[in-house]
Amino acid sequence: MNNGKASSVWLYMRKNKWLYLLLIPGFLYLFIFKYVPMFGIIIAFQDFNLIKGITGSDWIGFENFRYLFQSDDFFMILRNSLVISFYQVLFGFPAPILLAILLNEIRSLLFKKFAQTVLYLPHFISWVVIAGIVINMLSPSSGWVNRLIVDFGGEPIHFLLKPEYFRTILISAEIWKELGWGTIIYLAALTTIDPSFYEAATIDGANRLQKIWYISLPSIASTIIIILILRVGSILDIGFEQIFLLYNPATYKVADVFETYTYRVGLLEGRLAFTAAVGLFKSVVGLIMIVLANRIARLFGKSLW
Amino acid sequence: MKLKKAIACVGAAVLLVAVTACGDKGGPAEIDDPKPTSGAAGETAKPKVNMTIMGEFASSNLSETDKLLVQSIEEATNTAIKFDIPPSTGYTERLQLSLTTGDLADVVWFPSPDDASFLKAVKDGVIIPIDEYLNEADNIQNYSYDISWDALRVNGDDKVYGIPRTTVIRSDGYWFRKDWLDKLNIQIPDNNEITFDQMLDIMTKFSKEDPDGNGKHDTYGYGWAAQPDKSIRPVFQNELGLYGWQESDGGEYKYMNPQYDLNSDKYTKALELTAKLFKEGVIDPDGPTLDGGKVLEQFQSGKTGVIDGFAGHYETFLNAGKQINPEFELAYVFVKNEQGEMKGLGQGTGLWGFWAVTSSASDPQRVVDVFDYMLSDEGWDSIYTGIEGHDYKVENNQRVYSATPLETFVRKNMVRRANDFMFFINPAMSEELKQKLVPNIEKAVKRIVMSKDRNYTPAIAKTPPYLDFNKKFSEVTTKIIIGDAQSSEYKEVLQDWNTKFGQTYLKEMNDYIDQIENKK
Repeated sequence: MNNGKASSVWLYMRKNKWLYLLLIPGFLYLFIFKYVPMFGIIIAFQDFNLIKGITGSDWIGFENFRYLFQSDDFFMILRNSLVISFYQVLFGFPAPILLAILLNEIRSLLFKKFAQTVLYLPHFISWVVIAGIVINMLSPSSGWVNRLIVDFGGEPIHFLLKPEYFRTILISAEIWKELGWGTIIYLAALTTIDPSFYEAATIDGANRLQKIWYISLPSIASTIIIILILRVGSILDIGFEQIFLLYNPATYKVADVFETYTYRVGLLEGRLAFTAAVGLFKSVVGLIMIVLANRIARLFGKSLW
Repeated sequence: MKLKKAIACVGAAVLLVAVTACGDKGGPAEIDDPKPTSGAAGETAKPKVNMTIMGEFASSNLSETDKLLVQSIEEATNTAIKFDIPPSTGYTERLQLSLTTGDLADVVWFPSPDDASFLKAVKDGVIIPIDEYLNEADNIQNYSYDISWDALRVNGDDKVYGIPRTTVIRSDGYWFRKDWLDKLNIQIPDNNEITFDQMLDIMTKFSKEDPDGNGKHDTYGYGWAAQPDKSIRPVFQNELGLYGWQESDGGEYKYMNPQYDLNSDKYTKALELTAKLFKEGVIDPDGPTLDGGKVLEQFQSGKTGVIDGFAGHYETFLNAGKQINPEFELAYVFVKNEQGEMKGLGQGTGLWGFWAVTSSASDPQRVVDVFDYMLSDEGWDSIYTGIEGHDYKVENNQRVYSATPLETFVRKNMVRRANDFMFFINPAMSEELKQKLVPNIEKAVKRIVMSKDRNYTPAIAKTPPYLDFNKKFSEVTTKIIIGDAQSSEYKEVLQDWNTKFGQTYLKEMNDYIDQIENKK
């Protein structure tokens, strides 16, 4: 019985051997860059010594985690990470879906391609350049936003020095950068919808909005759920560059997140073991979140596994 | 079918190559094929040694003059030197990676002896003490500041953990837009010295009286920027008498820094002044979000009228400014402190970073010897003037220097001699220009007051809770300057610091300074 099952699997693999061959580089990538470095996690439980290395450093148990959880900064950083991540999901997640639907409704192919190209471009601009644009745009002395405020009789605002503006600036810049790129996967999903659904709906007298609501959105719901589950799994991964380039001590209390904290503590202060502990904590939270999100999705019959 | 197979094979191969390429480490900038040595007899008697130097330079590739210099060093010291130069923007990260993986060069450059990764590397034995190798390194001993050695004794064992990359200790003055001064009919005395009140008056006029004459309120008196850690500090500390650690006027501790003194208002007054200038638009409102490089751009483009800076940069600054505005002119000015004295805090401990010998060095003595050679008269001549045939020619027993600007990334940034400020003067410079610049550089060297702490970091300041607490200082300082907090809040943070760490910190620092001062 088992032999029969094994041989059918083997036959299946032989039949699709070229596809399996194409999988090898992906597997190698994951193995070399994701699984092998995982061995380094153990330094989170060590007083890591550069000479003794991973295998020889002294074990200190959960001391790094104890320090992390007792640190004055921990709850501020956790709160900032969760709040920014929540805003990223709240505003950043639906934006590409809406845009993809809008792009899908464009009838002129030439304009659609042009719009897509223009929308994809910001994705290829590095954060260093985008941060420079944001800083210049919001400059209290020469930025156009403040010039506008002054022209209307107001006083220039130091936007990047005010905690109350930081998250809005950050999330807006992120949406602008990734909006177009994020539409690709949804546009791909939208193209798989059978046109006869729309034709039937047209005959039934459905208008554009009704077709979007009753055909387009339900058809790409599985894709949306998968992307959302994956996004929730990285709830504490805010992104380092954009925050590092835009924050400053005046906005620490709303902008300091795990990435910037580990950069300062790990790289600048040389506390590598502590940084590994922070990274492990983030991964565990990510794992819990992804399992929870999948459970919730299962309730709606759209789970990832 | 065959086509599918071919496509699949090609696709897999391409992806495999891509994965492999991702893991490929950027190779160091190397000097190809070092030529056979024919150096000093004493050196050639020693076997040839290979060594790698990891440093931060403006370019990852050696220029022609750099290659020729390295070749001359190799010949003189019977060594084969490789350079590992990561991009300067990622140097810190790359250094950390090297320390963590153990993939170390023989000698690596660190920006400062209080760098946390350096201190950890010393503690872990990755960086070795070099005292025994310095015994015969007369040039390094002669051309380094004494305080540099004190700063490099970081492990509490009285041993030295680095070769100084010396810089001439000075306290620079300010670059003023001379064309703006002329437009506003402001005269600077012949000795280039003004009082602090005059300075404040000029800056206010630069920001309020349209010195560029374009009819817009778009100029600011003073250009400044955030520190590399993004914090901002009070401006004009020299003029306000903030000279770091000095003998106190009384109180619990013999030595005190006003920044840490609960009983002194000097530092909070400096904060208040900066906040006032910021609020009034006398200093550049973009300063807190700018990095150091942008300050010069703002100055050259005519947005700010004053920046602090080194007098030796006259030609570079002037030429860049004139490209933007042909009327651009410069004046170099020193500002006296509130007591009318020409004093300024000497920057650092004579270290512009330093070279640390690692436990991976195959022959630490030879590493030290190479640096010692660079500071010898012969080596120094090559570093300062370059190599004959490329950087200069000898005509009628006179050196005629190349007129074209040379890219001296490595040549002029490996070592420097203490107090030798002529190093900053391009040998090709006209006598007239030298006469203009040298007195200013000389004045910047002569007016220094040294902080007595020699960049010493008390042990408590290396502990994680202290490092975490430090963020509060930069937060409150920034908030006070931008007007989001009262200056009294600094004292509240200082009181908190004093309760948690201050007493130990101040005692350790006082013990250290006492010990060093008694050695004199």
